[in-house]
Amino acid sequence: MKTRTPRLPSVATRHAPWLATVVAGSAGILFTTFALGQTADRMHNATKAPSIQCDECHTCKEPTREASCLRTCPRNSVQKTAEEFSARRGPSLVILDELQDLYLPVPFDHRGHADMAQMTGGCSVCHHYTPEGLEHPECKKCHETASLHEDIRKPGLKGAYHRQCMGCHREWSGETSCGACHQPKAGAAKKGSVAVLPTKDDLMGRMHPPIPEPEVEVYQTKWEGSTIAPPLTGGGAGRSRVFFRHKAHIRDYDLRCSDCHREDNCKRCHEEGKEHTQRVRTLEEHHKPCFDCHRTSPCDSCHIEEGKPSPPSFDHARTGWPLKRYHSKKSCRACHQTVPYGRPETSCISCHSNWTPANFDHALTGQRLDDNHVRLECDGCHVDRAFERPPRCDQCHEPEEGVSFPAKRPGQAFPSTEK
Amino acid sequence: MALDRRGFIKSLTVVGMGGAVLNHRRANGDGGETGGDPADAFGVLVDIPNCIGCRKCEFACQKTAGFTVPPIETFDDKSVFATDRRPQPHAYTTVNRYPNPTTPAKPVYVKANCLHCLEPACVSACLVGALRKTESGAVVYDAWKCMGCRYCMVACPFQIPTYEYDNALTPQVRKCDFCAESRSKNGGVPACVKICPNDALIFGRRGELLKLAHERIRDHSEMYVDHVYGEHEAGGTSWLYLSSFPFESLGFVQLASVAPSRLTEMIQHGVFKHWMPPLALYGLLAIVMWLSRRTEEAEHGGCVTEPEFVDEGVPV
Repeated sequence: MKTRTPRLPSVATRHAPWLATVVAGSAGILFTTFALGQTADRMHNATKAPSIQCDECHTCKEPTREASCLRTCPRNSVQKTAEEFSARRGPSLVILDELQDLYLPVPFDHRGHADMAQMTGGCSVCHHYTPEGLEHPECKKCHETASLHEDIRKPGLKGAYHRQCMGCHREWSGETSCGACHQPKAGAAKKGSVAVLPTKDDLMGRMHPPIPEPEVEVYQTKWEGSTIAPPLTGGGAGRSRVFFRHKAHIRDYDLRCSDCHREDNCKRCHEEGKEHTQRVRTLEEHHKPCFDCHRTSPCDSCHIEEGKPSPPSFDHARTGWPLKRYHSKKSCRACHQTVPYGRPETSCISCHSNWTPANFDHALTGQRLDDNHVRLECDGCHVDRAFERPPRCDQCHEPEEGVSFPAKRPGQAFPSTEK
Repeated sequence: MALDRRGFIKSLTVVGMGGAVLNHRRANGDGGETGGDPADAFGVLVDIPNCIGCRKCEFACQKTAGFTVPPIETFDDKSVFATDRRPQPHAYTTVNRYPNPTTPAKPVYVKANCLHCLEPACVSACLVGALRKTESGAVVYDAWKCMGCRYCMVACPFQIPTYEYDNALTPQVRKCDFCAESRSKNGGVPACVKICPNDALIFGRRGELLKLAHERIRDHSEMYVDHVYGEHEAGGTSWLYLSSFPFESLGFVQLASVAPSRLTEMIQHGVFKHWMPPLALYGLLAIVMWLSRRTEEAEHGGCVTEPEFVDEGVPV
């Protein structure tokens, strides 16, 4: 973002000399403007190349700090909240005391919300405008505190706060009474009355307990075998267990929290209107997150008889595509782009479309090409670029008994290292 | 008010004559009483989907108007939504609840109050000029001029003005005055807008608000129906509404885009144009005279000629 400061001297020279005094007088103003420009540059991440165009945020050609002419919030196209922010990095408790008038400050359980947000949509659910690489700006940096806010397109601070909360809480709990979050000031109607603030310890007591992220979740179930599988315990003495490797799903299988928890909200755990009770989930609700991806089941593929070892974790070789040196380093999503992970296209060029004879080491396939063949284009031998089918010599050479692949090879063969 | 009845009638006559001249000019298309561009006048955009039904506007309104207000917590009472509530003499605004057909957990709340029409029917109907549309957009009331005919209540297409029936001696017509008095003293925004926690009410110049409303409809077509209520209804109103559901389902009356006062004023002013009333009166009188004379002739005329006939006939 350019600042407008370099323009002024040229205006001064073009016009009358008397302007020089004005220019000299405005040196201080210039300096201030420059300083403000620096702040603006910080907002615009001047250390890196700008990742967005000016007109994505601003409606006018030359926005200034005073007249920024920003577009309507939230500017979805420029949401740059970096997902590197982790839920636990933020504060546990935020006391919203910017606008207290009729009510006492609101203790906001940031950690509880951040935990939930990380599972469902990330920090940007609330922090909808954080330029890349920066800390989240305070709400009041953009949202004006005055009730008559100049920019009618942008909610004032009060509106911004409340919309963040009410947008979800209205639907989840149907709770819209002010008392749900606010404590009225004693005798609030009388000006100058002093209300006693609850202590920080009191407020911490209102916080949501941390939402645990289990390593392995073992569900002790009520299921005792069915007609699908032979009864597991012969007489129903024991119940089956389900081992759910929660951490492995995130760490090894590269799933994002929102892939499974996308529909989650407070209702997942709490009865409506009873915020301190744990809700009992139905059989369908219990199974749905698993069934979304794991569609093959007899029950005992997950339900393990008590006393028996837990099933082994996932091995990609079972799918018929063992992962070797290179592919095992890839994240699941590099090949499986959508969740649930399905069977992707297995031809080499579905991913490696940019390989040419110059940048591809043919030896990796277990066949180092001789000097004659290494010069050829890929489709010189692999007709129609069907790399999964070995080429035949007689496609180019005179047919000869027993000289085609694999009996005869154009170079040196050795065991393949990679698929 | 140190003015006796005779004095009041005198001044009324003078004002009435002046008013007749003004009204005559207006009927000829010389511009409305406000004079200013309605786009520059103030208004409020009510973003209905953002209203959470907290009823704090009701509290702030009653407090600012100087009425006795119950404690703010009492406005958390949701049981009042069981019935549809109209504004009351001491509650210029009321919030009503309507079912949400798509998300039942999120009912729709609609705030009712004076919409401050651009061409108010109440102003047109008021015989004594107690109601007036100001240049800032508000329709204000002067209790001193009011004679209590309540024509304004009948004229208002939104049925907003109320009357203090329980006040035997000095009853007034009561309705939202857009906080005109408090704003002219202290500036700022109307009390309801100021207190609205969710920014469901946006105060600004009507032209700007209309632009904003259409921008929102364009940018969030999934959220709003393509209709800004009040843009054209009843000739346009200062208060404008955006909704996710058809306005008919939220208790809004369907109105033509011509102000109701246009038709009534056209008839009334037309009647008084070109010396019509005296001509009509004297014409009517002439007809009556002519008819009565004819009847008289039919009755007595026979008598008048009959004697001649009789006179002639008697000798026969």
